[in-house]
Amino acid sequence: MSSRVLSTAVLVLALLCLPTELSNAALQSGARPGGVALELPEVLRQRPQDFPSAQPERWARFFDPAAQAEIGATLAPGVLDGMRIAESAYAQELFLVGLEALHSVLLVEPDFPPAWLVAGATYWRLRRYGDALYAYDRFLAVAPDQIARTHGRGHALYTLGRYLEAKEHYLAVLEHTDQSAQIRLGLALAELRLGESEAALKHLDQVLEGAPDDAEALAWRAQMLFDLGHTAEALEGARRAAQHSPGDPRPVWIAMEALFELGRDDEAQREEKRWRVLERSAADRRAIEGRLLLHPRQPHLARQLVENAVATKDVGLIGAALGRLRASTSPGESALSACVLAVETWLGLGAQDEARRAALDMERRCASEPAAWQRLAVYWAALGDLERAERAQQRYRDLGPP
Amino acid sequence: MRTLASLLIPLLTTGVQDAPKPLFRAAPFEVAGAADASLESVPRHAVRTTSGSPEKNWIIEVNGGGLLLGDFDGEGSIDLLLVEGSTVERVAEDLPGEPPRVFLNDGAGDFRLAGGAWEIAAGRWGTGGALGDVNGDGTLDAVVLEWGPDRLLINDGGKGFVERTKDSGLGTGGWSTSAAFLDADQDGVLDLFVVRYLEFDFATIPSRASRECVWKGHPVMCGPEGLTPSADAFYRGNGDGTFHDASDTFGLGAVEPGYGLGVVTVDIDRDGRTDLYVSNDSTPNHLWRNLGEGKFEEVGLALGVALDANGREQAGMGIAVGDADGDGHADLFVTNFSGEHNAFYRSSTRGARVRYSDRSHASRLAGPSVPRLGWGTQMADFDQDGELDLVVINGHVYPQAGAPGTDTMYAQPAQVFAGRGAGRFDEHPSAFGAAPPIVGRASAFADLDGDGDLDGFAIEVDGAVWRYENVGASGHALLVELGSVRSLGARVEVWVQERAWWREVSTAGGFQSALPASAHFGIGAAQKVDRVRIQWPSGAVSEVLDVPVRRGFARVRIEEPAVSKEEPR
Repeated sequence: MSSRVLSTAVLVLALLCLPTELSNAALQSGARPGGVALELPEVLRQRPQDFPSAQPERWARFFDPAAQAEIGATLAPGVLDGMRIAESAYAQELFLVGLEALHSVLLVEPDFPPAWLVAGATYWRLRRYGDALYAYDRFLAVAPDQIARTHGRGHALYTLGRYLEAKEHYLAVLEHTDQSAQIRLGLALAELRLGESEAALKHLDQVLEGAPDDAEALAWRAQMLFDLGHTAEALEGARRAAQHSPGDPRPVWIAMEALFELGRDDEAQREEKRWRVLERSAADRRAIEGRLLLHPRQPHLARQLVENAVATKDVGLIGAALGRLRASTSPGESALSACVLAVETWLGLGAQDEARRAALDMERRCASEPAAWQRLAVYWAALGDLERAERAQQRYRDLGPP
Repeated sequence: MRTLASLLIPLLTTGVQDAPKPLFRAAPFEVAGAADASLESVPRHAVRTTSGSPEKNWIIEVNGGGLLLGDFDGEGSIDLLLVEGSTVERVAEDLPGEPPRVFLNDGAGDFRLAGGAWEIAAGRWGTGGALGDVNGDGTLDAVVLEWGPDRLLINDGGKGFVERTKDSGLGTGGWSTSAAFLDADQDGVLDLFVVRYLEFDFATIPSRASRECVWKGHPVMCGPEGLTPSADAFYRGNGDGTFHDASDTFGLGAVEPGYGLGVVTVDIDRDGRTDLYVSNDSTPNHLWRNLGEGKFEEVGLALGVALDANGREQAGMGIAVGDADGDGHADLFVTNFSGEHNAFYRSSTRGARVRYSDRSHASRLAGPSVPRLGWGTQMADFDQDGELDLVVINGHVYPQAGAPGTDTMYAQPAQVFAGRGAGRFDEHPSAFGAAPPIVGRASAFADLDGDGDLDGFAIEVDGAVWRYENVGASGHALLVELGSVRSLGARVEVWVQERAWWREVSTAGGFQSALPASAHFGIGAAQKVDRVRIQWPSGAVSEVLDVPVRRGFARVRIEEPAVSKEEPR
């Protein structure tokens, strides 16, 4: 049994890096007619507070390897299976499925620490920030020495506008963990929101030491410089961030603000035009992502996301959108079309390395599809890999034409 | 050995001593009956307003009514004109909504419902309004806004209102929300800017029951997103109490309409011409720079007040204006939706011109606003310590707020942010004492009881009108009243020893409200105001020296001089 418990601990560790995005806090501020209301799933009608605490002292030694055999022997049936489902669902962004599994675990083991930790991350991804905070607090109530695993709590506090608490939590987490760019970025943003721009800049520079091309950190740095009145430096920083993330309207916005501030109105107006195009595209993207939040298996929406990203020519956005499309398709025809779109998108952009990776992925995912091999022969030839092209042609002949 | 009680009592006492004193005493607004009734024998009753059904199936039911504060009867105290809506059923039967009501103040803050000539016929669905002397007779006239034709009420010498909508040049339909009087073309006659929300029609907009519109998984009323925004309107005054539509000359056609909710007047660039700032729900806010002769240009984006610091549009509701950092230029504050932050646009002259940037976070105004949905707001020195404070009235639009996963509530506490100077604020931990959270909407603050500090009203949608009596102002106050129709846009400057403050006179209250044309200053512990200077829009200047402060309050009334004209600003 102890090995099963250990596998749960491994699962928990695997989830530690999530959630990572601090910028998805935009909430729908109004309700637009024309859609069809989806019923709120039952699992979201429940609050985490519906699972009252019981015997929290049971888990005091959960993270002590010496105690795991003893703890594992007392676990209620189904707990580990529930956690495995939750883990798998989280990885596939099937958050409702994951939450259902976590609820089933919490019904039988109301204070099970891994369940609350994963629930925190899951609620966060579902944009239920108050629930995420509650889940992390329930985790810390039974595992107070495991604060290093709870930087997501800082994200939740930040998103709820509780910046001072967020800053204090990030600092507490940093005391218990080695280094994490995401935690330092969170800390810097909390400090920025508290008006502590100098400290924020220091922490952001630490993030950029480890990742000098991090577009998000570069954009925030430009914002901070602008706030501090270093307008020319802010402009330079914003332009650098825009180079690394050409689909993101924010650096262009900061550049526009800086140019207006500098009285360079003509240039500012050019940036404004660019920003308007990017912002419209980003708004469309946010709308699609919102619709995918509860029901991610919608290939037609994922395909719209890819089209949106391709229009920006932003490699990061395109990769993320293609990944989303890949995850939303199941083996068979829809998977094949997703693979084809991925390879052809990268080929169209002249991104040879990405096209090669996509072709390899296509070989794995669509190995039983003759049409896939027929296309792969063409793709590999286009990529200059005649050996693979020949092999693909052979597989196509072996499988027979569709 | 010390007993447990002896240990606990000092702790408890310390706690009590440390608890900040409330700034306002909140209570439902209660009045006696009509003017001709015996006040002693008529029981007092709480004033409530109507705005559709509590279920809020349609967006028209959400925004609530308006509060217009001014001295209507000329007796020297602040009266109230309360505007309210209707119900879906009344509209369906083509019946009028609830009539606007006038409450006259006895000078000590006791209001009575005014009858007789003060009674106003009901329109279709009242929203907000504006106050100004449109015919130059020295009394305060009103525009009442509606979902339906806007209405002009002329003050009959302080004896009552007479409706003069017909032939006034106003009265086009649509859904108006807020309005501002200003002398845009500097001809000595008041002009009117009307803010409009969206094209509303029960026949074409789905109700909540259609389940077409969802917020965080909960079916809610539809809009504003996805509905057609209405263009604002500008009317130039003819000087005889009538207007003509001058929206084209103004320049309104040059921009995409927004879902307009609030407006303030302010001379942004200190060129002597009154500019306009309009908050738009879910669309960029507009800043209209006055070019003279009734022409304006929209410069919101160029001057940094259209969007938030990330370049995102917010759900602009109410607006407050004032010089929070004492740099001589007005700062702007806009209340927004839950999940967003209220935006504090701080002016700066560090660049090539006066420009703004969203400094909500550095000002410490952002974080506490994230779970709230703000409406009425005002920047004034409520505690009279010499620094401008902010009051924000909150309440969600969706009764579904509070359901699982919404991270907010329908009824929400009002907030006061105490100014700390240099554009920074701290939230007052108990500004309204034990007042319950309300589904707040419009608000307006002025000296209602003649003691010099600022009291206020707020509308609770589907509930009471709340009255806030200032009980916590610690400093002294100066109230400057300007006795002229041409006072709107005047700049009032005050010096006390080494400190100086200024205000710009306006009656635009930010969201469906109007304020008295006066300037209130908190002056700390000062016993004397060294100098009061008025720069009138005409270019004339008035000055009063050595104003004594008695019992913590000084009040001066200044008429516009015919001479001592300086260079135009």
